Amino acid sequence: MEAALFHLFSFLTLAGALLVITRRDPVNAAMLLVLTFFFMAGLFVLAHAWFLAAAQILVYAGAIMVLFLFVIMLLDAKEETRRCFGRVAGVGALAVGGALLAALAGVIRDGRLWRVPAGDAEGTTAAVGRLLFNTYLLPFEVASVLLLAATVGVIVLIRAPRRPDDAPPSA
Amino acid sequence: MIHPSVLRLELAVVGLMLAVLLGDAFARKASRRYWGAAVAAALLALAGYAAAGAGILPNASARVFTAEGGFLVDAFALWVKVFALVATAVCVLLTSRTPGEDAPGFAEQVVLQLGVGLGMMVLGSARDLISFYVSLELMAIGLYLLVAWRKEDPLSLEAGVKYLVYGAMASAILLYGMALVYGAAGSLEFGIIRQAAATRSDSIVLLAGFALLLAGLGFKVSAVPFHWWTPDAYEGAPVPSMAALSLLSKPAGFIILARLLFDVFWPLHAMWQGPVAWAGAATLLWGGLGGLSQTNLKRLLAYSGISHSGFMLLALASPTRSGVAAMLYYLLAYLLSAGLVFTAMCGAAGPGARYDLRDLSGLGRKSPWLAGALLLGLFGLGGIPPLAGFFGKLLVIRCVVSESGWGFAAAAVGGAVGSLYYYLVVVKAALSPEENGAPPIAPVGRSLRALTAALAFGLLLVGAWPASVWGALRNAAEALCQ
Amino acid sequence: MEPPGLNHWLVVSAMLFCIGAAGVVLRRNLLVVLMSLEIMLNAANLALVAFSRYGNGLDGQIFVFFVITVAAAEVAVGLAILVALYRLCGTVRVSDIATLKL
Repeated sequence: MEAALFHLFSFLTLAGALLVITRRDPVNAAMLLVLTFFFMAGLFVLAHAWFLAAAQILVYAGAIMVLFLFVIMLLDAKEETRRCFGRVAGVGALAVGGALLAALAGVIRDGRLWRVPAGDAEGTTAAVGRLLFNTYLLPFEVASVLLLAATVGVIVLIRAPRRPDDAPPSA
Repeated sequence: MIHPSVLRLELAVVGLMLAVLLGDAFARKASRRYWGAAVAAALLALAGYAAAGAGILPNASARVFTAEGGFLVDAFALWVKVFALVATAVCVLLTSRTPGEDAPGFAEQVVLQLGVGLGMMVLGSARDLISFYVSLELMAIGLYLLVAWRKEDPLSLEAGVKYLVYGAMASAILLYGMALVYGAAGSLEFGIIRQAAATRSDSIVLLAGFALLLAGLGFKVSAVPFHWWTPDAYEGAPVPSMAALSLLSKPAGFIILARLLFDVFWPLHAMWQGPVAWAGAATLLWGGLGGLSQTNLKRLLAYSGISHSGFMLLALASPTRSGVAAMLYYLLAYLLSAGLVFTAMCGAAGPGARYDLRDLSGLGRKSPWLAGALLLGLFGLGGIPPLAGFFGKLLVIRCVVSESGWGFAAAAVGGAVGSLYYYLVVVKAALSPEENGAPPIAPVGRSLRALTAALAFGLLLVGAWPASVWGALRNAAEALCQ
Repeated sequence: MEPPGLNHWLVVSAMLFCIGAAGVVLRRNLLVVLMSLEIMLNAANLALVAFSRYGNGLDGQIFVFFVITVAAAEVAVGLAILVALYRLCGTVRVSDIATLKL
């Protein structure tokens, strides 16, 4: 049962990702990406990462992709009419792909990986939370600064341009 | 629990960020004339406090961890914090000149620069992969925004898009490397990864992860073959953001590279030495030759930055403490000289300037002060004695000769000569008589004068009397290579 | 069918990473490029979760949590720059905005 589900979700995830990068219409691509993230959440469940499966759906499918769709509507993005592969891009793609395939072959050939037993880590919300707010409290706080910086910067960047003589609101 | 006193420098910077944000919401316009200077003064005061040990380290060889071990303060990390604070102060002062303290978005720009500086401070202390990743991304996200900051200028936005796409791709590669390293070592903690590197050096997963980590960091320090984004990002970015790219982002890349190579992956040093040396030589030559045909000062400085990255990579390729110390000295010289050049650029033109070389014509007559700063900075970058750049190059070449061989040393000298040539082209442009269409220059303010004087003094002091900093750098290197 | 081993997970994750990388390099629409970047990050997440499952404890899952946070910020920044660019130039295609030399 587990194996069948793993193969099913893996296949669907990969197929979804492939469709995302080949669709011409960005709306289609975004909706397919939402599906891909759902299948991936299924994989997370198979790995006993319960909390992450929920976070994946809530944050990725629920927040990030909605943002994407919102911007696509806002920009009125049209379908791509032509595909042009630059020479630099082609060479770069070949190099990256070659290196990754070599790494992939190495991973597959490394026989030790076949025999690693599954551990007993259960990614429940309680367990994840306990670890997050004890051992990893410091990066958690740094991440909060990161979100603050991103929020501040994004607001400035998309604020409608003000006239230079506009006085800032005074106290 | 984390004991907050270990984090006092970082907390102070966060406090400064919040103060600037709140101040921007409530302060009247007339009262913000000295904001840039005030923030920079606070940062420099913190830097002085950190340089004195910040009450955290009892002696130079001590290592203070937080209770969980994810955050380490040693002499190396403290040196990184001093560097980050000074570099952030330079960026803030440049921002208060262009676009100026009364421009919309000034406070937010300063907040982002403080965030980038904070990222570097945490990065210097990171002891596990999560702190490493999050602090690196804090820097990266701040910089994406800062590069794209001039939203009325298509060039700046495009540079932001390009930097973001390439930067995020590099981050993804880095992250995949981290995942593989985590899988092979069984832990995110640097100490355990080091043990794994010592005992399981034949694990293909570990080696693949290490290679991907190096590739991702190669992007951050614009090493060949991951350098191609640099001229575009520099050309489009406003000058203070360009300063943040080269004075904060690139040094941070070298800092974490040093931490990885000389601490975490030290057991593999026979394996990384060769590739790092080759990448260094290629980077050096690319930067030295690519800049020769440039007619734009910003692109030219990007190539100059690439060539300096090559020098520092070559320093790291000699697996000794002197190599690390030489790299740290070189970084300091780079901060002082490049800081002078950026200051002169900020003074010589307004926010929208393109900085073509012919726009510089007549600078020597219009503002001897700025032309002097530009000259001194360029000579520092080029390595003219007795400025700090000369001694930095000398130290690196000495390490290269003893560890990597004469061929690499010849490449280093060749690259240095190439870049010296294009610095002289800039000097010639700045000293040539004025052409029509060169922009007028606003009078140089007090804070900019103070910054120029301080950087020039530092450049001369560190260059003519290297012993003034060498002890501290040596301690930092000792702390790293334990 | 025998249960999947660690190498099955790693192969899926590596393939996903390649698909994402191909999307970033080959696609010209910046919105799709950003989506491809998300696919790359998710490939790394999958590898982290797999390693966490096969004997490495929960730390990998915590890492994934941080990656999701950072990815959200990254997407917000990227989309903000795209919106600003679209306001100015009316396009989000690489080929139309390539004033800077590649």
